[in-house]
Parts: sequence; structure tokens; C-alpha cells
Amino acid sequence: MGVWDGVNLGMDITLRQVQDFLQVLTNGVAAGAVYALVAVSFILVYKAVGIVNFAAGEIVAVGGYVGVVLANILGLPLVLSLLICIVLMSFFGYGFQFVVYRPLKGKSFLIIAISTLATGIILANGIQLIFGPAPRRLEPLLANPTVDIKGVFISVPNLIIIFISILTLIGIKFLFAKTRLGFQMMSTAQDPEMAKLLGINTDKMVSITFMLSFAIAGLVGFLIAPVLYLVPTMGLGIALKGFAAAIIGGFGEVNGAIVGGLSIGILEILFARYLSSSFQSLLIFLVVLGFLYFRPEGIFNREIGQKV
Amino acid sequence: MSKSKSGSTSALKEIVQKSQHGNLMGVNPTYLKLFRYVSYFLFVGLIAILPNLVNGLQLRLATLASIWFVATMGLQVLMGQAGLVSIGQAAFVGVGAYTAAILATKHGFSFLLTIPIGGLSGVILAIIVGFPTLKLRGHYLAIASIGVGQIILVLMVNWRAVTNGMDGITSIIRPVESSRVYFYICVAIGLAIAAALYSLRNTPVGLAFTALRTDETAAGAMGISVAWHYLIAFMISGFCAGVAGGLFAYNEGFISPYGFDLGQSIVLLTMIIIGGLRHISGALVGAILLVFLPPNLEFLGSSYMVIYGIAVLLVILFAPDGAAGAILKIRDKFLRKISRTSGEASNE
Repeated sequence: MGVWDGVNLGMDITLRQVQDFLQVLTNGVAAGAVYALVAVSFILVYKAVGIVNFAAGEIVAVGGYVGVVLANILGLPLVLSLLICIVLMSFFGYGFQFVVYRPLKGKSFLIIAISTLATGIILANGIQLIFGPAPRRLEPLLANPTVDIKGVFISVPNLIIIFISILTLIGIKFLFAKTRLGFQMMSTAQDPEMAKLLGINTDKMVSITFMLSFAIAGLVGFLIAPVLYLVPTMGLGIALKGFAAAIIGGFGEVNGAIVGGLSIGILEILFARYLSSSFQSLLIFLVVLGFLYFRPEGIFNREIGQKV
Repeated sequence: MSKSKSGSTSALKEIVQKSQHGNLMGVNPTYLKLFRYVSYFLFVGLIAILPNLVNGLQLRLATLASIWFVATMGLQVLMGQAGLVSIGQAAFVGVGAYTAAILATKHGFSFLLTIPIGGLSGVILAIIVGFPTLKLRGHYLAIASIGVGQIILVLMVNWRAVTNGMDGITSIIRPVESSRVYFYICVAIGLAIAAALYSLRNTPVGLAFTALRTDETAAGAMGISVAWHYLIAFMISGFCAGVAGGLFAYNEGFISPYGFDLGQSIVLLTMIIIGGLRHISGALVGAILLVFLPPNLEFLGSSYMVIYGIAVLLVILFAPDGAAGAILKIRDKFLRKISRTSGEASNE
């Protein structure tokens, strides 16, 4: 009898472990989808105009707070607030380029990097000034926001995040693979001079790229607002994970960003669950440094060269 | 052969000096020398009597400014001279601070040993970090430096056996009782490092930094070892940060991971940008401005970080040479004017 007890107990634990693992895995996939979107959002700008936006995380935070204002404070319906949030953020992106991109055209990397960093500081502290340091949260959709799939509890906001992320990523792939606008944007990114000669309005394409990038960032902010508590300083962590995803993916590839984001999200959450939550961010940065050292071209081994 | 080589070196030197010292065309060299000696004399005099002029809090801030001056000089070499980006300088300061603090409190090392060892720990970290990141440029390096900063921070918070976690290390006792003497010590160390860095600028290493910053590919083609010189820049920067960390630990008497996070890295970056990236004196001006302004901007409340950001943005957009650049421009104008008037006087 004692023997059977042990086995039953063992199987019970195993089943629970599997359920727990699946639960953790879904959370990881949701987090990974968010990182992938963040990475895509600044890779677009990087490819189009060659600047890395160090304010990327703060822009996501702005998106989240805009969502809070629209949905919680103004009380608009969620879908409508999401759409308004995306539109507002794309206007923000349109304006952003006149601060850190157009006046600094042709300046060294250092200058541009610092100006985006400074913009990030302004945004983070501007948020703090307006909303205070206390955490905010978009009121969740449902009272009990989990679904029970054979004992695996999965949070609905996470499912929504995964679903909308997949849709968005498919949309972006479609834009660049099939549409005229996408081709024009790509050729502007690849060779602005040539694109101009071929009659493409490159200024407009750059503007559209900024708007698209910020719209995605706004979407991310809105999506994570019901899951995470929003704090003014949240941008840094998100941006770092996004950068990490981009580096793993080879900095400049949408596919790479997706793989990079998912691997970071899953790796981080499994590590935190099963090994150590305090050394979780250590792992991510060691992985990133390892990639930078051994495979700076990213996981897909895309050749990178330097322009002389 | 050797003659042509030295000839090209001196030509390069001239170009570099012009870029370093601004436009001195039409300035009487005697006046320049005189001006320099007078300003050095005034500066040293001011430092000597400063403790008598200010209250205890202001003296503490002045000491802090001289400590951040040391750390920011490292950034000036790395960013202003070699053209590399680091958004993780505070982590190097932190490693220096923890090294000095642990050696002093747990092993009873004296100040004369802990400060150089603190600097050395910065150099060692620079080598460890430098090797994997040396082939990175631009945004890769910037992101890697943030990553390294975060790794160090995580270690400071979680490696409790060594760092005592968030509680930090307490009761680090200053080598001298008087805060006035400690201020002099910090300033003296800062000025000694500044003098060394000034003379470095006209050595082959300093010239190589400028060449690499201007055009890395061309410099490499001319036979300058790119990786080696970048590593040297990293090591110098790490040394300055480590020394500053040690001085900081003694000055505060207590350190915790709070003082060495990304925010502090950005503050150090802001110092050198606002002070003037191209000038070693920019580190001094920036450190003074950013230590003394925040307490005087208290009426702005927590919004002063917004002001920081806006100030950095404005400086980058409209005055990329920073405050030191502006001061030097005024100096040159003044010197040109008196050179001209004295020239006219001697003609008559």
C-alpha cells in the first residue's frame, strides 16, 4: 500500500508539473510575443534610417499610459481606445522624427544615440510628472480572466496578446512581401538615393516608417497594460528585452526578431520559474553578450558588413 | 624615411591640436600661455580657499563634483576621443567602489592601497568586457554596455555573500577626519589624472584615438591597431571610473547598488555631453554643473530629470561642443581681440 501511495503521489506531481509547465510556457510565449513586437518596432526605424531608437521602451510606456487615459479615465470602450491609441501613437511617431532624426541627419551615431536616450529620459520623467510614480493599470476585461483547459489555467489577456501579436506580425510580413507601399519602404531603407531617382517620395516613406513603428509600440503598450502594472520607469526593461530579441535575431530581420523575442520570453520565464528569479536578467544579458561575441550576425547567420 | 614619418606625425599633430584647442588663428601664443597660467593659478587658488567660502553641505557637493569629474574624464577619453559609446559607466564606478569598500572594511587595507586597487578593478572589468565587445561598434556596443551595466547591478543586488545585497556596505571610514582635507585629496587625484590625460593626447596613443574616431577604416589602413587602441581607451575609462568609485565609497561612508544603476550611468553621460564631449575640461564643467544644479533646482520638484533630458537634447542639437566648448570659444575671441589690439599698438 505504501508503495502505491508513492507512485500515485509521483504521478500526481508529474501531472501537476506538466500543467504548471504549460502554464509557464504560455506566459513565456506571451512575453516573447511582446518582445518580438518591440524588436520589430525599432528594427523598422533602424532599417529605414539607420538609427537605433533608445527611447523604444519609453514609447511603449507612453502607449500604455495613453491606453489608461482613454479606457479608464475617459471610459471609452476597449477596442475604440485601442484604435485611438494606435492612431495617436502614429502621430507621435510622425512628430518624433522632427526632433531626433531630421535635425541630426548625417551626424555621428553617438550624437543620434544620445538624442534618442535624452528623449527617453524626457518621456519617462514626463510620465512620472503627469501620472506620479504609483503603478497604474488598465482595468482588466473580465472579472476572472483565466480559462481552464484541462487543468491548465491560461490568462485571457495573455491569449489576446498572443493572438493580436500574431495578426500584427502577419500584417507586417504581408506589407513588406506583397504591397506597393511595403516595397517602396524597403527600397527607401536599402538605397535612399536610388529610391528617390525612381520617383519614390523617400521623406514620406521615412515618415510612414516612423508612424508604423510607433503604432506598433503603442499597440504593445496597450496590450501589456492589463497584464503588467504600468510604472514610469518600465520602458528600460522592455527596451532591453527588445534589443536582446533584435540582437539574437540578427538586428534587422523581422523573422529573426520573432525568433529572438520568443526565445527570450520563454527562456526568461522558465529560468525564473525553475532556477532563480533573482538572476533572471543576468541570464538574458549573458545570452546577448554571448550572441554578440560568437554570432553577431544573429541566429540565422545573416552576413553583415560595414559600409566604408 | 624616418624624417618623412616624423613630418607626417607633426602634421597630424597640428590637425589634432587644432581640433582639440579650437581655432587659435590670429592669437598671440604668448597671450595664450599667459592666459593659461593665470587661469591655472586662479583655479588652484579658488580650490585652496573654497572650503573657507562654503558651508559643509556645499563642500560635500564640491567633493562629489571632483569625484564625478574623475569618472567623467574616463568617458571623455572613451567617447570624446576614441568615439566609442558607453551607457554603463556607473557599473565600472560601482565595481571600483565595492572593491575599495570591501578591502577597506573587511580586510583593513589602507586608503593608499584601496584607491589604486579600485582603479585596477575598473581596468580588469574593462578588459573582461572589452574582449567580447571590442569588435562591436555603434548601437551594438551601446546596447552591450547597457547589458554589462545591468549584469553588474544584478550581481551587486543578488550576490549577497560579497556585496551584502541591497543593504550595501556600511561604515567605510574616511582616511582623514577633516572633510576639507578629503576634498583636497579628491581634487588632487582628479587634477593628476587630468594632467596625465592631457599629456596623453599628443602621444601616439592619443593621436590614434582621434584618428580612429574620425575614420576607423582609414586609421586601420594606416597601420593603427584598431582593437588594441579601443581596448586601451576602455581601460583608461575603466581606471578613471574605478578610482572615482573608491573615492565615492569613502566620501559617502556607505554604498548600495542604488548609486550605480543605469540612471547614474545616464547622469555621467549627461555630464560629459553638457560639459563638452571634445574637451577634458568638459568633464570638469559637466560634473560641477550636474552636481550643483539639482539641489538648486528643487523648486522644480521631480521634474528636474525632464529638464536634464531637454538640456541634453538642446545641447546636442545646437551646441554639440557643450559648455566647455562655449567657454573656450569666448576665450579664443577674447585672446584674438587683445592680440589684435596689442598688434596695432606695437605697429604705431
